Amino acid sequence: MEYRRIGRSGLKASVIGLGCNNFGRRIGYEASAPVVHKALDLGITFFDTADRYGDDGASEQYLGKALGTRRKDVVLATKFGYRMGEGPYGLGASRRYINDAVEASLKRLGTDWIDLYQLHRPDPQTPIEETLEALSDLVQAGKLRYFGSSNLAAWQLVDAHWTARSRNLTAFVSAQNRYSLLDRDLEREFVPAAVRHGIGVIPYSPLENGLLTGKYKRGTTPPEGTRLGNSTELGDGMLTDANFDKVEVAERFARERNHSLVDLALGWLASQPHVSSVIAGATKPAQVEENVAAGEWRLSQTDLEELDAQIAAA
Amino acid sequence: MEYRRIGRSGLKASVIGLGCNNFGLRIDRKASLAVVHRALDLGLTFFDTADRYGGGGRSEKFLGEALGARRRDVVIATKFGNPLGDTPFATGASRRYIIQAVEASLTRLGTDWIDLYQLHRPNPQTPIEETLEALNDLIRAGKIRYIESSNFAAWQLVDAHWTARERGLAAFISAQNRYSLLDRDLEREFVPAASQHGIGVIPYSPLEDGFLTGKYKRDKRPTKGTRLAAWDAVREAVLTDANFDKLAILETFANERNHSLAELALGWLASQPQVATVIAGATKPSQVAKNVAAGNWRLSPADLEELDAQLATR
Repeated sequence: MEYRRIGRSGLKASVIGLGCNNFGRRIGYEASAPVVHKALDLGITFFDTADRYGDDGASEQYLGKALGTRRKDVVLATKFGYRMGEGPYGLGASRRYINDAVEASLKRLGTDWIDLYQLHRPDPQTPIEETLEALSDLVQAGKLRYFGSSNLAAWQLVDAHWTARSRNLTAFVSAQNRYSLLDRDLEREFVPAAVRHGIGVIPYSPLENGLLTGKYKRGTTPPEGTRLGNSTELGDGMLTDANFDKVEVAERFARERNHSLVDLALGWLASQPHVSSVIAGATKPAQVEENVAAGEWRLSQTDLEELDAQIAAA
Repeated sequence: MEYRRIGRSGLKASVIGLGCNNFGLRIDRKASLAVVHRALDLGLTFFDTADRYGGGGRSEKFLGEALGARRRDVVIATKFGNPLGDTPFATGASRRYIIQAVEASLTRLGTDWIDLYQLHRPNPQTPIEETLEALNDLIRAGKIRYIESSNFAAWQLVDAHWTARERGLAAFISAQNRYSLLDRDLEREFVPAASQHGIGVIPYSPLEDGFLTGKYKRDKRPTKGTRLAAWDAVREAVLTDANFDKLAILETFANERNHSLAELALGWLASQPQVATVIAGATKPSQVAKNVAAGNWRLSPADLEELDAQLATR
């Protein structure tokens, strides 16, 4: 397992992380614990959850419980900002809310500190100065070690960075955004902006809800119980001819190199120097193994260019 | 004619500007002079050119000559940074180049100062600090009054703003980028970023190379002598079925309100609060008059919403 620095910070994490958004939603504690244990055994040190994953913070609870005493050996990353309670104080990025949210997460996780606390989405109702000041204070207080952003636009990322810098506050070390072989929009503005300021990119949905596992086939109904099969809205947006064209090219490209489509989807992200850790979800221990194996592949410069050319022609 | 502040600066300009990129390219000196004189008579005060327009600096020369003694009544905006030749010192945004470029533009324009000096495109080979420092020095020296960016990404705009702010340098007061009813990509990241920092947006190609005048028809080859007839690549990108579909909606919308398509294209931009001035080109005095008339239309919030709704249903 490769361990990489998150951006320019001193914090290191495994290049493949475990996405815990399934805990408490698609799988119960009995199934979540073995996934966490397998990840630990395979050297994964980056565990990504959020206060809103699972019902009533179930994902944080299961993760904390499953880690147990091994918590000290990992990077615990969670998020705040989406609605968790009723009324005006039940969401956001105000100092008022953040101080409540962090206590609630610490309690659910059963830990004294969070390694990477992430703003789940921009909050247009709160000045970024206020958010950064509140988070910096929590770092000083020892409740957080680092904090990161998620779902910010490129200009907001740069703006937040300079705001922190001009006020001597702690800055976001990372940016968690949607990024995959099928959705490379991030490369247009976001990646150059993150590189400019040494902010580590943490891609989510690297397998595009399973589309990049190859389990969905063109012209056939999605299998029962799969994510794109259960949601017509998701399915219609993703299971398009244009996406299948790309998936087929990617699948062939991977095969020719004795790899699977999943290997390519995760290995391609791990081959990007601006990527700190790739968040891959799992509902079974076997998937964790698959993800870890995939994350070992580093595509050569020639391969990366060849793949770009083939996808562009698709 | 409405005169608006450019961003948060104290500089005001007519909301419709004259784009001088045709001077020396599609029209000669005599025709250029006639266009400028009509613009002056109609109250236009924003004249936008570039060292590169017209070849051999002809656009700047024709503009300077045409303005004559009325130069002091207008805002002259010109640009540097696109290649003027093949040598290493014939392009860029280095201090070395900028000082040479400003002198050359001043000579061609026949003036002692440039009101708004624009970096034509980002230069990845020069730190933005160096560019801003050189431009700041030129402001102190009285050779230029204000500075603007062009073709920046949203994050670069924010980065430049903070860089200037941190060092006490003059910042870009405006940003000239492609923006029209057909190409609203700027609204995604750029307009919010500009708005956050009080930077005026100056759209170019508001008529999309004439497409938004309605002179091109579906399934008909562009008329000889029109711009899109000359540019195969642009033609293929612009004369698409999707664009003709949008065009039909726009034309109906405008006609229902007793306006022309071109009036909608310019009036819609002039109705955006973040827009400082809309650069509209002309090859004949009558086109200037048309542009000015179009720029008088302010769409009501209800009309703006209705138009968005109609475009969304397409």
